[in-house]
Amino acid sequence: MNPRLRVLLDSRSLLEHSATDAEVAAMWEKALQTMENSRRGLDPSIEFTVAYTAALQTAIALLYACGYRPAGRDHHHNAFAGAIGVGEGELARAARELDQLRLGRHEASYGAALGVPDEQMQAVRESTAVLMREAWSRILVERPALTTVLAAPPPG
Amino acid sequence: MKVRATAPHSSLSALFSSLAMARLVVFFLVHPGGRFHLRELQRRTRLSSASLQKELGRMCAVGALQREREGERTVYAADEDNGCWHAWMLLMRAGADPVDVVREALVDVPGLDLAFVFGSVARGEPLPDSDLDLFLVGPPEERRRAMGLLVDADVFLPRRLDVIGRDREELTAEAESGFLRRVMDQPKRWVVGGPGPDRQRSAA
Repeated sequence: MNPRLRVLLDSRSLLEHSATDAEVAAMWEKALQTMENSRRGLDPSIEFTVAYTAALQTAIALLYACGYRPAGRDHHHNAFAGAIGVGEGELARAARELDQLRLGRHEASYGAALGVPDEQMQAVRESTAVLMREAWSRILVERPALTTVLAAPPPG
Repeated sequence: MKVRATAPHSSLSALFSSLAMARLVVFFLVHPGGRFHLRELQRRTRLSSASLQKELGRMCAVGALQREREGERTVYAADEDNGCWHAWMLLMRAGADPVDVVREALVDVPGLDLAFVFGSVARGEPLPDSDLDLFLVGPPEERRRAMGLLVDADVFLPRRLDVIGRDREELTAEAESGFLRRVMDQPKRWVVGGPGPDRQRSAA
């Protein structure tokens, strides 16, 4: 097991969770819906938050499929760190990028209104699309019974 | 710059056989999957050649690092299946001052102008679930690089990170804002830069 995943479990940042296939599918469906909502020409700051939320829901669906759930406090960090822990390659890279965006969200929360820089907007769009694509494949490996149930993510 | 001075107050000195070893452990943890040759490690960790080779030898001896030949060069990579990495992360979560861990994690970001911790941790009155409030000053690309490393450090930090960043121009432009004035007036714990000699980058 990846040592980061072990540390997250030891520290109870990540909890073992026997999610049913229906629970995995419901969270995936929610992530897809949120992703669609993010592409409806929203104001950039709102689009950023909605796309980020889709990524968070995707990470949680992936963790459910793998038998975990993020603990309540800091569950955004725990969800992305957990996705890094269960994933590798493109999946882990996208989850790491999204956790980095999470860490930087507070930059715009204090002082002068900085808005969402274009590069952050682009990063959240791209990383969310990659995370969804890679998580979808991984979920189907973990939960083959969902092969005919889970809708594929929209093209990036 | 190779530095031989010591940082006697780092909590990591009490947890690892040397601060140099702690620095290497943190370096490999915040660069997962990385493969580094000796000179690159020396440049990026700012350790002296003697300290670096000694600690690399120790880490290879316990199987935490793998040493491989790549052409004319020897490269080092973490073997994440080795139980030491799990144990070291738990050790830091349990016993390290998070400010010391952040300081080591940011050794590989030489372009940061300043970094400091503020808020309840810097005031010395944190609650058990207080965040570690970190302020980074530097160009956007250096702050991004720092964030990339801190994301991996967050897993073994005893406190959750909350990061704010500005470049020097933004800092000047916002100097009179209520938030920045409150931050600047508060006690700080310096991670990069700050008053006094440049002791934050040093390791045994």
